[in-house]
Amino acid sequence: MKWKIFQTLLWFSILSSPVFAETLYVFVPSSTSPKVMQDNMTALCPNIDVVVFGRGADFRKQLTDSPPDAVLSLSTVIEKSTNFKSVLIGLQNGSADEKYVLAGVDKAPDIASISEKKIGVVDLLGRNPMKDYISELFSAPVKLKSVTKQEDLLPLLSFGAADAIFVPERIFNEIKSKTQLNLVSTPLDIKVGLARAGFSGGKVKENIAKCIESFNNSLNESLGVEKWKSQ
Amino acid sequence: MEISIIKTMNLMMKKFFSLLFFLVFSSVVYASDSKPNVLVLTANGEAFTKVVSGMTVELEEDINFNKLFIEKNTSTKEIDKAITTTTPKLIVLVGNSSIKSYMEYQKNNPKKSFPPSLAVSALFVDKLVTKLKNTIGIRYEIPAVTSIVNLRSVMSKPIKKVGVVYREWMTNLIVENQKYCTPEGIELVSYILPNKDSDMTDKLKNGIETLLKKGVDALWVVNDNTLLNGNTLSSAWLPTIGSKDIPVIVGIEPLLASNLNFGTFAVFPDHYALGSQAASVIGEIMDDDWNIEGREIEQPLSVKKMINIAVMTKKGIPFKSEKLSEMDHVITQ
Repeated sequence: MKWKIFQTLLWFSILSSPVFAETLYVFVPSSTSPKVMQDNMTALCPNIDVVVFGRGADFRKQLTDSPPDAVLSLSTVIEKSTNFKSVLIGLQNGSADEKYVLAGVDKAPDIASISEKKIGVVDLLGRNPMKDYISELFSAPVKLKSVTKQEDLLPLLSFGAADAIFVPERIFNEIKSKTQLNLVSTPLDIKVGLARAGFSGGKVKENIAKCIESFNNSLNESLGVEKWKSQ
Repeated sequence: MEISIIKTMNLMMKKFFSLLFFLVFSSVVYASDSKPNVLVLTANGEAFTKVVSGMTVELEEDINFNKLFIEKNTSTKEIDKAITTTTPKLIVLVGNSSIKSYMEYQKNNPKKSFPPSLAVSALFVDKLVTKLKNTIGIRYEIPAVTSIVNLRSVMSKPIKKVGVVYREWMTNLIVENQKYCTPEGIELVSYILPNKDSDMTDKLKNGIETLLKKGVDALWVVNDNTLLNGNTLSSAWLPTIGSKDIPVIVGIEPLLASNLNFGTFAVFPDHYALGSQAASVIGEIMDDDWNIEGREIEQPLSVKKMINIAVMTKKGIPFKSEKLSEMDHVITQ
């Protein structure tokens, strides 16, 4: 009798445990707080274990220590990872990438002298890989002032800690709406990919894919996209 | 003949493996020695741990971090031993007690030359670094402009004039903050009090009333425990502000409690991000061959933002609900 009770309890705990929940790690710099983003995603996808990271370093560490089934991040981050292949790509105005600008105070930053300037960026890849990546984009060595959060880019300019910031044009517009500093941008011939979903080994987990495709306008906006498309 | 060939081969194998062992061993030693050392003097405590964590995670591939925990009985001899043993390229001073201990160490060793040091997560860093040789820092106090711009972004009504009451010793800080606020279209309206006064609470009350009469859109409360304590809260701040629809920016979380009906918006340091900022500074110094000449003290870049919409609603202070998702924490009750 006791053995039957034990068996029943054991089966109950196995069946009710979240052991088999698929995991999704998210790292997309945004003005929306990671907690709010995670709560919203979890509400839409209750069967997925969603973790939203506010800092690149935490994301990278957890990716190594406890790899998830899928990641949602900017294309740059996914392309640099060895284990995740893009399956879903985010679109904005029908495009999978967006224009970037250099922005400064009072004067449009001069690209010709970029190697002499300190450029503020949100860290995506870690100190050395980020430096290499940005230098590659500009085809010139660049001195970086990295911040962990998107909202820390404005203080870089307010306090003169950076000469300019390198941001998507839509983020520049967002920052400009928050400040009365005379922010001026230099358009660039640089486009960087929007957020995308990468699956471990390229193996699509249908539940996660459906979850991402079900994101509402507000959530997509916080990720910088309008909709998702299969690659 | 065969025996001599075998003996020769054995000898050659022995020499080969000895050489291989030497190369492997020396390359391991070389690899671990090739990373520069940074000594971190830090006190115990959650905030300091976050700072150190944020700093080391960014740089652990490039730098060996050695920590010395500073406690009440930590002697300058221990600091000396840590420096002699690790020969750091740079010393990071985390917290006021670390700075104080290192100050004593420098004072006790006037003839020594010191590696550059970076002071972080400590009050009044800008004053303290002037008393240390070869030292720069990152400020801990959040500039008013950071707090006000963040408040403004969530408010429905304009924030153009912000009042602050302060004691005379803070004058330089207030003037500097006014300078940063001006380009943001913010007037920091100040009211100065003497450093000491037997009637401080009454003078404080008078100061707050004066600012309110000047039509300030918000109040910025500085972390000065002479002006902000249980007595001044109940005798000056609360009776004067009352239920007026004026947002109050505070610098510590407990002042945001709904039952106080006082603070409506709080901004305080993000310790982990402060560590990341320190890492960024260390990286720059490393790239500059460990030279800090010409570097200035930095302002803290990253903050945590909290808002109490229960108090805001109670006081009739309109806010933009769509901006609440940008807050780190929203108090709703």
